Amino acid sequence: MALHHWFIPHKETHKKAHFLSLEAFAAYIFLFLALQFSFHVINLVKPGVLGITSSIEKQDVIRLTNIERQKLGLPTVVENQVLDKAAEAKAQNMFAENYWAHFSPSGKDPWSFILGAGYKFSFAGENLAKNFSDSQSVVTAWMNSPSHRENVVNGKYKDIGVAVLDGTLNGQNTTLVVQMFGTTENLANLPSSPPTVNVGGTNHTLSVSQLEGIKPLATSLGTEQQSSQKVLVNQYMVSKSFGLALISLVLVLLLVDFIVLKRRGVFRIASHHLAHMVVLGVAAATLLTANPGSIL
Amino acid sequence: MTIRSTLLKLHKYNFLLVLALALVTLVAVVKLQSLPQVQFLVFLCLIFFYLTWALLYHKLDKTLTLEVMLEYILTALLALVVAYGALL
Repeated sequence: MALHHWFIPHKETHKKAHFLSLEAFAAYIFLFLALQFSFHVINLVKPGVLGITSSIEKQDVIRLTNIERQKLGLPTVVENQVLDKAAEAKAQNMFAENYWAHFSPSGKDPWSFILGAGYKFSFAGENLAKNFSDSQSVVTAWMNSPSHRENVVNGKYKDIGVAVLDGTLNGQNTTLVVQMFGTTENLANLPSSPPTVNVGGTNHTLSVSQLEGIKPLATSLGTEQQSSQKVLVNQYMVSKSFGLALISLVLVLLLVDFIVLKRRGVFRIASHHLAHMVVLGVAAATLLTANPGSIL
Repeated sequence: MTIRSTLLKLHKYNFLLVLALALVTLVAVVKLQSLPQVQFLVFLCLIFFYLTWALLYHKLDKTLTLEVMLEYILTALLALVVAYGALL
């Protein structure tokens, strides 16, 4: 079988290149699915091998948050060691209980970390992020989401606490960012006004029973950024590169097929090259703009 | 004038429909970067349109065969699995 038949239409029969055959398409799909499946297996068998490399710094997150507030003429928030401790406790709990949510599977809520650390707030809020590569993309993602933006640019807050921790979540090496805001000022100016927490854009007003159930946090927590575990394979980049390589190969071959048939002046009952190219082009653009990071 | 005759008249411009929707999808995908689930849904809409368009296009063109439709289905599947892998 001649090598060029894999790339260009057959000289006599004008049959499509082998790499554009139905079997080849089925093979591309199978290979991509096999890659995704192997990632799942590795995450189960060898947790922590796969993940996203990240360079997020706590101080950068605070600085960028304040830049966003200043743009709107709001006062800056000041780093609070107690809120830092609460954020760190939250991140550690997320790794320990293996969850990606504001509320833990065992029923721990965001305010139990804030109050447990010793920060007696009247109004507080929590933003979460994972798998971002840098601090700017974390803050940008929060600003692009109305519910998270509500926390970042909320004029009620005076203090901020941030924790950036690396660990294994669902078998994948993950960098978690926990951002907590708060104020101890009595905003309602009422002696008995209950504390309120903004979680995911929803305000939770705490009842007396909820406040009474809060236990102080263990004192073993440090405030340093946890050292990063070495990611051996960035699964996101592998998946993205492989997907782009497959789509690029098909796009180039479709273009070659289209040009060769035009030059030969041959009509072949086949699907519409340009329609395929447009759809695959959008898929490639989607891949290029996709970000592994997610916020909550 | 029947729908069929109108469609036949516009047949040579049919590809522009796919192109237009693809451009709209492209803009939406770029604008919705922080919402990957929504990005995927938008992309899914494009795929549904692409397959429906292919069916109508080849029906009018009298070139609708199983092999032709399989080419569209496999291209759509390839685009979908790759987008799914990156977004979700």
